[in-house]
Amino acid sequence: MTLIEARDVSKVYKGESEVKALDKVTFQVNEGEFVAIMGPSGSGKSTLLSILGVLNPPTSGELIIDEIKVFELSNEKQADFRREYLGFVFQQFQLIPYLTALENVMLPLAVSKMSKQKKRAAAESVLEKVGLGNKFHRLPHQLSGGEQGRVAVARAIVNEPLIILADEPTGSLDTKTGLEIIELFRELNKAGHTILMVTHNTENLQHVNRTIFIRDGRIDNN
Amino acid sequence: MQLVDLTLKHLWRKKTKALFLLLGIIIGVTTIVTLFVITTSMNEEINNKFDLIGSNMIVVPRSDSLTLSYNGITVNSGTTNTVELPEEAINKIMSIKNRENIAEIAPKLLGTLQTNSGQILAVGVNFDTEFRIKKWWQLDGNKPQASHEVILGSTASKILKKEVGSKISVGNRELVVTGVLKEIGSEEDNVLYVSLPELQNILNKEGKLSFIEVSALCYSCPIEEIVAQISSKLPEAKVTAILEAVESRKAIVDKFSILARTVSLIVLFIGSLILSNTVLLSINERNREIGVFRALGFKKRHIAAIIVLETAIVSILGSLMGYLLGIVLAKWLTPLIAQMEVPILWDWQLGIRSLILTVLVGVMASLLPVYKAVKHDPAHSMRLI
Repeated sequence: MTLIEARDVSKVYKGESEVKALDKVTFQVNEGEFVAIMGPSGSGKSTLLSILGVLNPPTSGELIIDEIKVFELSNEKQADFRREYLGFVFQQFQLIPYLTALENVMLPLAVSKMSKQKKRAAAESVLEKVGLGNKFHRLPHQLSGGEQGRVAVARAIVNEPLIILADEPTGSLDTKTGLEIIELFRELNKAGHTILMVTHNTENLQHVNRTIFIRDGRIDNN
Repeated sequence: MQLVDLTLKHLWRKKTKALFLLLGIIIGVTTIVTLFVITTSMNEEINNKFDLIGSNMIVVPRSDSLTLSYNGITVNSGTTNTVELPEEAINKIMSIKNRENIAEIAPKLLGTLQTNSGQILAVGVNFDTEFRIKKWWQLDGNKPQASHEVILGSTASKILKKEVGSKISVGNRELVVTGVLKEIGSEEDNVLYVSLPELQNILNKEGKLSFIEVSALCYSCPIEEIVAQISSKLPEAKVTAILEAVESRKAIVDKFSILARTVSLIVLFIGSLILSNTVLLSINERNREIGVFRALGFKKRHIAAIIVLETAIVSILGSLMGYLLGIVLAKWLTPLIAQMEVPILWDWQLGIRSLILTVLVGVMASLLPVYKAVKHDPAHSMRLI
């Protein structure tokens, strides 16, 4: 079943000179797929991820997720949509430095109407799931790179999203730790999460179902 | 984890920055509170001083007859058809609603006396009251103690050729001059001051008064209000406010108020600029963090709430501490600067007003940073592009 559909998505940045970051990109992602997005630097893959993350509206074309034309939603509804449907694992994880592992994981729930106890229970449960049951109260700088990655993954799944978007999650990690994070993604994929992951690392491709190659803002090989 | 937890965590993590912001607010609030308290106390002090300088109301009997003038104040003539006020008028004045505002009541009787040296205008007074309200009086000799003791104006002393210790015969009585006033330059120089009961006795006008000078402390009430209250108690009298004194007092009080307001406005303006700039700098540093919040589903209003809440918390703390410090400073500074005896009290209304004002300024100052924060493209701030 198609979960994500991009139809002729283009993105043009207007500055001193016009830059066409994406040019009529069309593809579909089925529910439960683990898809890698690859391409050289400046190819437009991060722009594509920001559009898929409903953070950056395309100049033309449309994005349909779970039969919802997401960029036709109001700004407020887009925020709700992100919270309900999407989980983000950012480049370098972007953990909030002044919050503990547990608080970082609770962050997506901060604006939900859930009780404090339920929020805490949900965050503790996912942290245990990613193997950090004993490091709830560590600040990010007190955690290793791999542990930070695990906290980022826990934060991405705490609101039980359908889709996980990851932007070079292994980019800042050594091979062994990077592999641990990929293994974590595989487990989540097996549990039913659809995953789209931007990566530079060709070794990661053996773990995904499919790869979308992007070059000069176009899909090279679907 | 709630938005308020997030705000508190950020403040705690960035405590040095928060402390500097807090310090800025404390200095601003302290300056304004100290200035306000000192100015208010000075105004009060000036009011007290003015009230001691002289009377600001005059109560005279209603009359159609010709009048005499004393000390620039028109009173009824001491000739035929003289209309006088009864002494009970004093009690009636003291029974008005705003009686607590009355500082001094100086009843007087006027009359001409034929002495062995010539005719003179005599004024019957209560010497203690008179010396209190006429701070400008300087006396050679002593204040009269006994009923037959009198004092003379400087001109009267020269014309009658009477000095301290001289005796003045009025009919079969002998009055002793215990003091001579130094030259004042007004009609007071021409007068013989006798104790009120003595003059009433000499003129056979026991229980009668020509007029009453009233000095009211009108810091919190308009003098016209006190005039109206006395008029209603004494329908047979005419009560006039000496507006010149009131107006000049008002002018000085106003000047102090304008000065305090101007300085406070400048402090407020500079304070809000610094506050706004500090919050703006903090927002620029937190761009990436705000981008993460937005990606995780925070709405624009949630971002705005985090920033406004943070400014409001620092403003509340700064305002309370600034108020406490301001009052303490005013208590310490006021006697040093202005040599004043006005007690400085903990005015909780001032505390609430300074709290509201500070939070208002804090929130206003964070509006531009909030606007910039919510307008920022989250995708850009995360450097996804």
